[in-house]
Amino acid sequence: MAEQFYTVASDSETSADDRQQPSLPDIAIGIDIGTSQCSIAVWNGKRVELLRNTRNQKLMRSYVTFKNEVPSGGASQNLSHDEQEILSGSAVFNLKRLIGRVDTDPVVHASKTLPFLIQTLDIGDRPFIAALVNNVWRSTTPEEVLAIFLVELKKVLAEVQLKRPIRNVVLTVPVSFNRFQLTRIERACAMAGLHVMRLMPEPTAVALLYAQQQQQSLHENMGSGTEKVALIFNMGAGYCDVAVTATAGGVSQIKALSGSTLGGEDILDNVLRHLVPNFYNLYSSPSVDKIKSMGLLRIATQDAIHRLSSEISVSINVDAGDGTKISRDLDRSEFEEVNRSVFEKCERLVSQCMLDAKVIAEDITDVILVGGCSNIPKIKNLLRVLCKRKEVYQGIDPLEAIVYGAALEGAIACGVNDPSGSLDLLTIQATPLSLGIRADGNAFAIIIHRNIAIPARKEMLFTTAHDNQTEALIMVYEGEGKKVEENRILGFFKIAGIPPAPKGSAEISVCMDIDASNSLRVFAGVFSAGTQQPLSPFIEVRMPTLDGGHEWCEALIKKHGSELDLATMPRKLQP
Amino acid sequence: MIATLSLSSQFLGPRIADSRRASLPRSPRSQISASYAAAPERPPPIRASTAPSGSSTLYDVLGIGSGASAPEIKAAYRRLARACHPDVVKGSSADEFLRIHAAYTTLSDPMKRADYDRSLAAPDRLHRVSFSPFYGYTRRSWETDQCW
Repeated sequence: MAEQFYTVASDSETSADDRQQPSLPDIAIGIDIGTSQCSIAVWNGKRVELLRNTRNQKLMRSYVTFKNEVPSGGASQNLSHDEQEILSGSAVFNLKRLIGRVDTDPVVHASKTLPFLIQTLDIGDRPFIAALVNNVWRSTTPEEVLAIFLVELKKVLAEVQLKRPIRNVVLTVPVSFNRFQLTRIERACAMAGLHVMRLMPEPTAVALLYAQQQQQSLHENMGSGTEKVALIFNMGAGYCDVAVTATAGGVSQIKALSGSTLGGEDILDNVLRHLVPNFYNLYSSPSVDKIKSMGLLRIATQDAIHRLSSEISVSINVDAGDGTKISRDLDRSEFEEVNRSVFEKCERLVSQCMLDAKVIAEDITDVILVGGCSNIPKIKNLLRVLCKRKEVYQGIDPLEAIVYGAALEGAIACGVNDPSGSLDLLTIQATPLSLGIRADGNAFAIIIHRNIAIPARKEMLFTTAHDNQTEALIMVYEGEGKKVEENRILGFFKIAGIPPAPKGSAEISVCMDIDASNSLRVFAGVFSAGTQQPLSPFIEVRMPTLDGGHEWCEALIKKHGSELDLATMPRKLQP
Repeated sequence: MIATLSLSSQFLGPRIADSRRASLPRSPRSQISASYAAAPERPPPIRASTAPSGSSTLYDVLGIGSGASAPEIKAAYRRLARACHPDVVKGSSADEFLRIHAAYTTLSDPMKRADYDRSLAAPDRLHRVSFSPFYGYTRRSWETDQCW
């Protein structure tokens, strides 16, 4: 398992660079991999700087095209693919919506109208993804696509411009990503020769930037050092995240997080289906000749949606060339009605986050909107109403805030000291999802609740479900469902050596530990009743351990039934 | 702490009872009954050499007086987090931060704080130090921890 990280520069080049820049060690770069766009930034010794590609873009389209023998991505400096080329079948994109998902996932099914091949067999395995190369569907994986893209960012952008090898990165991720999805991101980074220092929920990167701004204005204005509560709403092409943060003295406490797979892609999909009612039937898993038509429809619809942010009504005229034609006007109220469910879901996410953070609108100092969808008038209005204010926070760039925060975290995590104190910041992260085990039948017994400060450690007592039961299965899940099958399984292991006794008398202790870098360890052991003496060495497992999904649970139940089940200890006996 | 622990103290580390009690979503009343009921269940704890002093209260953990106001509690927590959070003190164990955070969780919630103040007044309680078998267990960080 001892794979080597590879670096591009030779050892001699590395040491020469080190001599040239003694003050700048291997500071981790910040990368914001968006569903649609991507950006990269680094602390340059004084401040955060966003890197540009040779087309002078700070925001680069996230895609990889397999048209030529060597795949290339949107960050590439030589090639400039236009949108129609990206939608020609040879490019794979939206991989952030596909990574770490199985073929039964509704998000994967909804993605089947994308102009490349996504096949599902609905068995809980990974979907088959392929790009069209010389009239052949060439198979790939989301991890591979992300790795190709990251290599390009690393080599072409960062290493050429910074003149040093890049190894450490801080990546931002959606709040709703489960731990399995996070390991897939880490895997892609490892394939690209990158070491992940942190995977940061996107709105917490914005919270860090906000904390820095508050510190600076405090120094400049000698203002009061009172606590400021900010609500951060982030909605891009793929995901919607909300965070509530309390900031004072450079310390940003994440009070609550909420998130969902909800974004511009869903809005685009809704509008496409509204304009072309049989869109899904026509274009789901498209044949080669349909791909071009689909691309044309996507481009025209996307353009109309963008224009609706500044215009009340837009006209759409597109001939897809396959008999499908759109020639009509679309006004803002119609657009808002078509996407009502999206906006309602946004409202629920904001309300849930405020509830979890125990804040009301009047407690919030600033409302910060970031991400491409924050430009939609309905979204702005919705946040203004929910948070009872006339204006939202103006101090940050909605498209650059996340990568800026990631680069700040990179500098802080590498221990960079800034004499002006602008890096004297700390983010106390919170768990975005609850963690627990299966107990009392199929119930989800939560050990670490969501929105608990990280690092965290919690312990809970369980007992046997049957008389004379000597073994028990610890099945670890993540999510918010009351039943385990509504949650994501992270792994399982068996505890043996339980002394035969009537059911409910053995003491099985399960402890979960999340360290500052968010890695999860699960400990479990059997104790003789009422003592602290473990009967045998306890077991420690780093999670997640599972590659697949629920098919393992079915296999376990088929094989063992309920004989390895656990029950929770009554509350009064819990530690 | 890690290298010098004896075999038994690996399993018998110290912990603040309230760190667990405070974060579980219970009604204030059941918290009290939980500690009453649990107290006779466990034998007297064997104290590891690294255990915090049994006489330290949550106020001592945060370095504040028992009359501290809510803003003072928050300020003390932030000050200590800046000093003890593993992100600040590289390679440090999370134990110190967990202790501070547990104290803050209890004292920043008026209901939990009132319960705790009452339990302080009644001296026969396990409210200070209890033991978890997993506490203080060696933390390791391998490069292979990243998914390969």
